[in-house]
Amino acid sequence: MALLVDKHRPRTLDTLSYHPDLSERLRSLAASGDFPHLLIYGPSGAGKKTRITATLRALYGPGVEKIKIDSRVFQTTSNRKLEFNIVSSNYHLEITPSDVGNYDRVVIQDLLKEVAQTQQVDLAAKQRFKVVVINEADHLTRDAQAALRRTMEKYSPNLRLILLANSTSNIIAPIRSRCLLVRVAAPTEVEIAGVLAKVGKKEGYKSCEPLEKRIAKDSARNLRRALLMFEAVHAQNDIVNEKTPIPPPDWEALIDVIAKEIVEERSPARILQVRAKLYDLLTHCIPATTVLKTLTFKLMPKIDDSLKADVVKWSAFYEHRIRMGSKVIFHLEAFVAKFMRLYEGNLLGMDIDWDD
Amino acid sequence: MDNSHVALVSMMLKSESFSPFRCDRNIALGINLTSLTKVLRAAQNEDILTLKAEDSPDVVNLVFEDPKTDRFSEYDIKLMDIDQEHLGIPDTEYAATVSLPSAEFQRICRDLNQLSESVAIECTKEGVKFNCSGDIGSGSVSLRPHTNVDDETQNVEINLSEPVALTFSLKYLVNFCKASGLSKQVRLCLSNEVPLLVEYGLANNSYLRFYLAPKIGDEE
Repeated sequence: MALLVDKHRPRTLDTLSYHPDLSERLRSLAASGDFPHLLIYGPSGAGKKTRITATLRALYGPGVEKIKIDSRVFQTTSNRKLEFNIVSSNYHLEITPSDVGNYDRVVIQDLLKEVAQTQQVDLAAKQRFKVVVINEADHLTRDAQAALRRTMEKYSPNLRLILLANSTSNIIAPIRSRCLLVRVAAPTEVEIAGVLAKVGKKEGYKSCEPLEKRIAKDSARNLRRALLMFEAVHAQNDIVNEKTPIPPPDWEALIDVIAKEIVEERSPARILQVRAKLYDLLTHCIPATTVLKTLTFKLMPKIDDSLKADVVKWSAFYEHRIRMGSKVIFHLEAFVAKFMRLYEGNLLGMDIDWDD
Repeated sequence: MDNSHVALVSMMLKSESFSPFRCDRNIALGINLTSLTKVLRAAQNEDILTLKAEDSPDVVNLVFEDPKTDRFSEYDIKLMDIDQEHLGIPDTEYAATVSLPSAEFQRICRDLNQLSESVAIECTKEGVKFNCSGDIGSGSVSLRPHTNVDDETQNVEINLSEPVALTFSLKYLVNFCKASGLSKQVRLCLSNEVPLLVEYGLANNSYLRFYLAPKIGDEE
């Protein structure tokens, strides 16, 4: 019972729906004998992962799609054991070093060196080099990126890296210069509506153009989100027409409720109630920074213009704290408390003087 | 294959080693090795082991019988759906084949592992040389072919068509040597640019083979 997102994901470069010039480039890269290191970047839901799998399939054949997940234990210099997941097929490896947080340098050094120093053990391999895909490359620490740069340079006859990132701003310049940068732009609303129509036809749904256009607009040009919303609408209603309401994702609805509650009553009791909801979000694996950002944006329309700058400033401050700290609930609650203080102060006409 | 795609293991137990052996169709059973080890621990050394699986299996059935005490243990292990492509390892002609006692190989790997984490194996007409160099210094072990009249398993035999020199990671070789208990002799097959084959021969033409990819020469 796969989600529409996965069921109808294009598997080859030919079946991709948009960015044909990009597919052409990737196809010629895969067909040529040599392959550079790649840095693929673009907003969420634009199709970076899909394109990488399609390119790997062009390089190594359909065996790339049979993947398994292994767990491996690394030991750091402080004798701390880290468990780390490696997704691999017979031909490539996929890792997310930022999963281990500040120790990603150890993972990069040990694992990549081991992979890179040895030749292909599978004699029937189509290519001489091995491919390692690194997810969330922009979450790598500076140390990890420095280690990566050396590895990339030295072992390039044997190892090709494909880095996936949301933006290149967090990638150091030496790594950017060692890679071919490929930008996957977010699809336009017309393209998203086209994909939804195609998927709808394959699934046997009745085509409803205004609804597809509405979903494309609400998804903020994120194709994954559009497909999930599409599936949710069809799952909840047997008959869809252009007036059918599109349910927002549950977590967003919950953050909406939190925002409303914070503005309604500003008191410690309310903070406690909000804490329960925040925990709910966190246990459902919604990243804390996403919660904070979405909450800030939902609070914006509810407050005075004079407050907006301050709220954004404190939101950024607590987001920074979340990244540096280890227990995110502290910082989320601190933001809620700070917001209540700001709002209350604004209501009473007080000018609060902050020392920090 | 292992996590870092550096080593391959292949084990073949021929039908002659089993009695009785009946296999109507080719089936692939995905077994978790950790679970298999746990169940096999329940067996005693002298037990008779029977493996059974149905046509479309989701469990594999193991039966241990103790002939002396008439004890009968039956275990079902759940199977995994390993959707992996089967790696076909072609039988290549190797430039150099070395047979040596497995205990000797284990000793060499363990000793050299103390010095460095990679070993350079050189095969020439004179013999086979394992050398390594590390922080504290360097070391090398040379073996010449010789025949031991009393004990055939202590023979060292070298068949060479061209000299071979390759570097390997000792961490994996030490792991391979854990199979030394299975056979008195181990066969190393080397060829340039081709993974090393470490083979422990078992009864009736069965084998346990390890393949290890060579390291690239441009190390610091």
